[in-house]
Amino acid sequence: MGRLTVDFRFCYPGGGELSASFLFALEPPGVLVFFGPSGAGKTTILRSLAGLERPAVGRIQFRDEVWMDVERNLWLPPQRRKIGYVDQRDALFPHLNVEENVAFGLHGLPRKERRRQAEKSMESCGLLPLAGRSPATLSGGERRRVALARALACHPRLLLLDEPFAGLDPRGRGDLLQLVRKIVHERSLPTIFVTHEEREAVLLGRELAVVGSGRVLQIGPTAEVLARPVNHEAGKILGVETVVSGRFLSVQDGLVAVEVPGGTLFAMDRGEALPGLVYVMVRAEDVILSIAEEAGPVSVRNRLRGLVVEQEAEGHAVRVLLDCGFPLVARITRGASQELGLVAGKPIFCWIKAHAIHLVPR
Amino acid sequence: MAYDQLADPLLRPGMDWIAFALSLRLAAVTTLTLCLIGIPLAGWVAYSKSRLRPALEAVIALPLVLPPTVLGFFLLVGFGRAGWLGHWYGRLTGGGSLVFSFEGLWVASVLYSLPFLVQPVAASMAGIPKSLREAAWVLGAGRAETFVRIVLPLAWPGIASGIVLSFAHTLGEFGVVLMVGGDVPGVTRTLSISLYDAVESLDYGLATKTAVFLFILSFLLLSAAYWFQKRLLVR
Repeated sequence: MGRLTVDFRFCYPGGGELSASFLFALEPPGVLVFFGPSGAGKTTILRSLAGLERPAVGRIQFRDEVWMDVERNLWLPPQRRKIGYVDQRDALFPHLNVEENVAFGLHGLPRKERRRQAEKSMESCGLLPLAGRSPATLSGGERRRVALARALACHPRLLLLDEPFAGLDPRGRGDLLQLVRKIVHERSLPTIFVTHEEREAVLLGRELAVVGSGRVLQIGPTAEVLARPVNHEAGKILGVETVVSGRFLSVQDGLVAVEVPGGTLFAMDRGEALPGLVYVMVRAEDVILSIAEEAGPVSVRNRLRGLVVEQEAEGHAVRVLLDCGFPLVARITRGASQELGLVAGKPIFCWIKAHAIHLVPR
Repeated sequence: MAYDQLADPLLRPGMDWIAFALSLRLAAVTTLTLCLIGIPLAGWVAYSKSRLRPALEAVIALPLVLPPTVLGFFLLVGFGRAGWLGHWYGRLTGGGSLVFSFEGLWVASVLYSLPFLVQPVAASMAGIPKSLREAAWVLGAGRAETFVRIVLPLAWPGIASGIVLSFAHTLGEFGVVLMVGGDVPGVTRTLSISLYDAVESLDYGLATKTAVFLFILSFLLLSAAYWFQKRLLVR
């Protein structure tokens, strides 16, 4: 089966290590998103895949082609990996115009064929009107599109995108995001995409890999990874706002009871063996706030009594910090906040479905 | 007019044009040779990660600080029939000599002007962002192709400035030329040597003409070099 197998350890010149170990299925083609804070090592992983960095030990294999095997002293230089690579610096050649930039990698082809392929690639990125322009005269968004078209013109087998939208305004980001989605889909091109924007990760990624503290913490289908971070750190990186220590009490009727400061929480039993101590994780979006303790029978299993500590506007949303015996974060709409009349010190009920409570062994 | 009469500055009214033509020829072939050797060398200096790099950079820069007589003396000894270089050259050319010959001056000038080409070229190459070379590699271009298609075009202000500087420096060379070439009219007597001759023979009129001529020429060439360097900074 076609897949990219990666297992290496990289030693930074100034000390520190990064280990990357994961599989990426190339069929059906999809997007794997590397997600994590800056400095976590996402770029180094991508550069190692491109052949621009040399890990100290390990292996990279693309289908049945070995790109790197330190033990067997095998190394395929970047020129022969036949990949597309675009990073946030876009690296357009300043002495060549847009068309010459796009055609750079087609040097071996006859002139006519080169021109045809360059035009095809420029067209798919909406660059035909800019063909004769110098890179210095282009906007940031246009430059990224040229870099993308240049990478695509060579018919890469794998596309590596390292925060290709960094430094663009929100509209430019949105446009380019749509373009990448369209191209990856149309060309059935396996793509690895590095970002620290959750929105981009969710929009693009079929699979999500969380990178933190020098290693790949978790990799899997996007929805699954977002819903169930594998550990405390992955949860933090993925924006699971509430992480609280708890003690496993019992399992009954498919519900796991966990003792937390100020009460007991019930989570769905996922059949995992749990040790005595666990982390309880809750995404801020999954917390419902209510003034009334009971609104008739409700399906929600967890109803906590809490106090509003503070509120913080986040665009059209409001992030509410609550004290339920432990700090709990909720994210609600601004309208909801006004309707509930939330102010600091106001008592409130916090509802959390058992499904939304995620337990991670400590 | 017979050649000897032309070559003898005392017999002519104007400047020693034969010496000037020789200077130009020497500067031209030296600069051409420097481009062939010095530009790849500059690429190595700019991009090599070798531990030998500082040592080689020092060797290239030596002519900047070494008295020309020191280099001239070593070359004179090396170029002589007893020296290995002179020995080999004699065998290759069937009796040719590097001492007191144009070829000898050529080799000496190439060594002596090396830093004037290599340093500005290496500096402009080192200033090219690495991401550009990496982009070329990922697009399938090998090291040599990347050098020709990316590095050379982007380093051109440095190359142009290096060409002008090494040309001007060769034109103005004196000590090394005197040590290795001597003062053979039409063969090794360059314009700066002819100025020295004029002063020796107390012909201050000719000396003034030659000196002013060399002064203005050097000034114009250096202006051109700095103009190129400014282009480099602006880009």
